[in-house]
Amino acid sequence: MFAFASDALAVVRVGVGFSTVTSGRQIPALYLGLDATKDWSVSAMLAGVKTEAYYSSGIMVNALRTKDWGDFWFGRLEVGFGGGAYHGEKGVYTSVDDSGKLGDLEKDQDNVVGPAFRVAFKPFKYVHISIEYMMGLGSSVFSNAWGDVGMGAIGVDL
Amino acid sequence: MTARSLMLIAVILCCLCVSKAALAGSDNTFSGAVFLGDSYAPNNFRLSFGSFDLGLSDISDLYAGSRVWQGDYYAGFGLGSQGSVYGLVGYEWKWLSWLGMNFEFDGSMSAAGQAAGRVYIGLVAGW
Repeated sequence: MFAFASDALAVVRVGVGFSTVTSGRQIPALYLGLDATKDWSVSAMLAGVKTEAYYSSGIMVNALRTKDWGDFWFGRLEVGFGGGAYHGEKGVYTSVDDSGKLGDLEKDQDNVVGPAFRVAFKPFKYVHISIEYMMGLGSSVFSNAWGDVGMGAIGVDL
Repeated sequence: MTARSLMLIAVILCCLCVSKAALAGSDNTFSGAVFLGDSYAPNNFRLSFGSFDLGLSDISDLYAGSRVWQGDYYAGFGLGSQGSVYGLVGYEWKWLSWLGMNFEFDGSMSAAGQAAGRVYIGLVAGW
């Protein structure tokens, strides 16, 4: 399969890592990517967590113009820059009655778009360690505070 | 000596070793940069020797890595003292031969699950 994939135009990337959606906790997030053409790729992050008291989930989709930046350390470095979007939902139970039953679920949504970038170190041909973020636009960008959404991942290129 | 100190030393030694080949082909210039992040607070400082970087930032803590250039654009990758990896892409706008400004996107992820991205605006001086 790998020998076949090495000559294919479309490369599928699959990885796992930690995301901003659950930052600070070791909750794995899924990374998916597709090199649609030689210069362009589409990628997605899927992350979420659910407990009895709250839930939070998010999906980020980016379109990036990618480029191989050549030899780096003992492997290669790939770089992408483009734009993306993020949709997230979360809910928290804000009250508990006398019997311990949860009530009053407070929900919230996040929708944001912005520039996105990806840096991937490839120590081996089919392995990547990548950092990919979408910097969400909003009024706070005037104070250089961006809505960072993204993840780091380690995965394989198929 | 704490485990964190040992990890830091290992990171720096590792990056020095892997940067050796890159340094051999670089112009071996030194540079220092201060970057403004969220709310324009100075929260990323970096010293560079050739392609080797050593810095301190709000998302990677103490970090070490390398950058590669294509014209005025650069990309980098490295390791942080909290067991993190970071990646960056940036553009350097040179005002003078020794003074310039950087626009940079940085992202980081640690083994503890911390993940963050930043846009930095930097002032860099080289010699």
